[in-house]
Amino acid sequence: MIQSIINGFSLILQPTIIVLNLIGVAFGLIMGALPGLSTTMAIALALPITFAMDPIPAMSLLMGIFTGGVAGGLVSAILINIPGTPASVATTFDGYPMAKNGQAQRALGTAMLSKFAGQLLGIVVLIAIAPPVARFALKFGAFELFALTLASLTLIVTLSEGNQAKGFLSGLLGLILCLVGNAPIDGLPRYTFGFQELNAGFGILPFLIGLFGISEVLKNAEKSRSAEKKDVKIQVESLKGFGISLIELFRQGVNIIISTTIGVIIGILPGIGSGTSNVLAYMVEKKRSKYPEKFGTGIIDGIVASEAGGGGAIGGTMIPMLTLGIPGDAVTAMVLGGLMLHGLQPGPLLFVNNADVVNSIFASLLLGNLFMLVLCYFGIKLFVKVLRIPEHYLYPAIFVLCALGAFGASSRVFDVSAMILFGIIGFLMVKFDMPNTPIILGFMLGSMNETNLRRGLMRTDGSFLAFFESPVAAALIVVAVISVLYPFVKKFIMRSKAKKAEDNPQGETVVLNK
Amino acid sequence: MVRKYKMDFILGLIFLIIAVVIFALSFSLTAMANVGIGPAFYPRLIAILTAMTALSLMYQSYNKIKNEESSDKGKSERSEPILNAEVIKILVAMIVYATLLRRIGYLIMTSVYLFTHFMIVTDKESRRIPIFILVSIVISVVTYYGFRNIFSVLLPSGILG
Repeated sequence: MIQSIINGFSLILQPTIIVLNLIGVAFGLIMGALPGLSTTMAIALALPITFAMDPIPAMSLLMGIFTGGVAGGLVSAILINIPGTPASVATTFDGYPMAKNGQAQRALGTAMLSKFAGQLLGIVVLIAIAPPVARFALKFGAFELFALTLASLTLIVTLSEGNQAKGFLSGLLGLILCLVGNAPIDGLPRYTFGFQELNAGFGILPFLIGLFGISEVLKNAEKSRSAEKKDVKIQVESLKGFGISLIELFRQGVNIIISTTIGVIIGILPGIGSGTSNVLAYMVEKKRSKYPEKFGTGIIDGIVASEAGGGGAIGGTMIPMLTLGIPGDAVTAMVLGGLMLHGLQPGPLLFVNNADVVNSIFASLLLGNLFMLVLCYFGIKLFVKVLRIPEHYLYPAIFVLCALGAFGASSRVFDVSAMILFGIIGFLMVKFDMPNTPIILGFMLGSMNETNLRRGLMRTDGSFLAFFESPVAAALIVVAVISVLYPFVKKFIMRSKAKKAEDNPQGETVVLNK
Repeated sequence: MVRKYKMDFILGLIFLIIAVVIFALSFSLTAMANVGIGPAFYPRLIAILTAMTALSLMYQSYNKIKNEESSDKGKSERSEPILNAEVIKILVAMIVYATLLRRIGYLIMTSVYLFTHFMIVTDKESRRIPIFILVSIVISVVTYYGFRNIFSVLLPSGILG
C-alpha cells in the first residue's frame, strides 16, 4: 500500500500536474458552494478540457474537483442554510444555527477540519482495500459479473428514497436507454430508428451532462420569473482561522471515526454516497450522544458527524468504481465517464494494465484533500463573493459549457441533441419525483448485465440454475432477490403490527415510521 | 396530494406504453445463427418488468386517488403546468441551437443563443441589452478560440468558413 502511494506521488509531483489539481480543487469548491450547481456538473464541465491531456494530468484535475466539490457545499450550508451539495445537508442542522449565533467562523473551521479528516481516512481505506478487491474481482467470470450488476441494480432501488415503484422505473428507464444501439455479442442494431449515429448507443457524456447539467438549466429557467426572489444576506465578519482548538477536535475523535466508517460503507454500496452518508452519520451521532437535545441548536458534534460522514464517502464510492467499474454515486459515474474518455476501462484489469494511473488517482485524491483544507482556510471570502454571481448569467453560460462537453468528445452535433433530450428526461424526472441514481446505474450497467447473462447462458446451454454453481454469483443473486422483496416484506410486517394494535387497544401503541 | 397521485398514474401509463412499444418492436429483431438466447430476449425481459412495475404504480396511485377523494379533501388545487412558458422557450432555443449549429457555426449560434437565454430569464426591468450582447459575444469568442487553441477541439465554423 505504501508502495502505491509513493509510486503515485512520484507520478504527480510535477508543476503542471500539481497546479491542475489545485485548480480542480478551487473550481470544485466554487461549484460545490453555489447551490444548484454540483460536483457532478463541475466534472461534466471540466471533461472537455481534459480531452487534450494525458490520463494522469486529467485525473489530477478531476480528482481535485472531486475532493473540492464535495467539500464546497459546507460553505453555503453554514452561511445561508442551503447545502451547496447533497453531502452537506446535515451540516445545515447545526452549522446554520451556529452562524446565526455569531459563530460562523467556528462552524466553518470545524466543518473543514472534519471533512479533511473524513476524506483522508476514507481515501486511506480506498488505497488499502482497492487492490485486494481488484485481485479478487479478476477471477470474476460471466456468472459473477451478471450477478454483481444485478445486485447493484436492485440494491440502489431499495436504498434510494421515495416510492419503490418509481425507483424501479427509473432503473428500468436506464436499462431501456442502454438497449439502443448494437446488441452485445451479435451486433444487431436495436431501437436505432435508422439513426446511424446510434449504432454505438447513446454516448455516456451526453447522457450524464444532459441528465444533470441541462436539467438544472431548465429548472432554473422555470423559476427565473417567479416572485420568490431570495435576498441572500450573508453574515461575514473576519473569516480567517479555524475557530476551534485541536484539543476540542481530539475530543470528537470517536465521532470522526464512526462517522467516517459510515461514510465509507455507504459509499461502497452502489448508487448511494456522500448525500446519504452525512445524514446517516448525523443521526447515528445524535443517538450516541449524551446530550441529544442539543443537536440542532448549534453544536460542533453535529457538524463533525455530518462532514466526516460525507467525507468518508469519497473514498468509499471510488472503491466499486475503480475495482469493478460500478459507480458508487452520480459523481463517480462522471469520473467513470472521464476515465472511459481516456480509453481507460475501470475494473480489475485497470489495476493490472494501468496501475500507474490508479496510483496517480490515489495520490491526486490525497493531494486534493490537502489543497481543499488550505484553500478553505484562505479562500472563504472569495467563495462568499462567488455566491453572488447573478443566475441569469450563470446558467446560460453553463448551457454553453455543457454543449461543449457533449460535442467535444466525438465532434458530433448529434451528441448535443442527445444531451438536450436527456436534459428533458432529467427535468421530467424531477417533475414526476423520480430518483435519478437508478437511471444512471441502469444506463451504465445494462450492457454488462446483458452481455454476461447471454455469455453465461451460452456456456450452460440455456440453464439459469447453473449460475448458482458459483458461490459468489449465488450469494449476489440472493442479495438481489432479498433487496427486491424487502420492501414488500416490510409493508406486510407493518400492516400486521397495525392490525394487532387495532385488535388490542389496551396494548402499547406502535409507532409506524416509513 | 391528489395531483401528485394523478401524475404518478400518468407516469405509470407512459411507462406501460413504452413497455408495449419495446416488446412490439422486439419482433423485428431476428436472431442470427445459434448464438444462445438472441438479441430479443433482454429487451422483452425489460419490457415485461417495466410493464409489471408500471401497472403496480398505476394501481397504487389509483387507490390513493380514491382514498383522498373519498375523505372529502375536495379543495381544488392550483394546477401549474409541468412545462411553464420559460422552460418551453428555453427548450425551443436549445433545439434550434443544436439544429443549426453545424450549418451556421458555433460563434454566431452561441452568441445568439446566449442573448436569447438572457432575455428569456430576465424581466423587462432587469434587462441590460448592451451588456447582454457584449457578454454573449465575449463568451462565444473566448470559448471558441480557447477550445481551439488550448484544448485542440475544433468547433463548427459554419458560414464564417
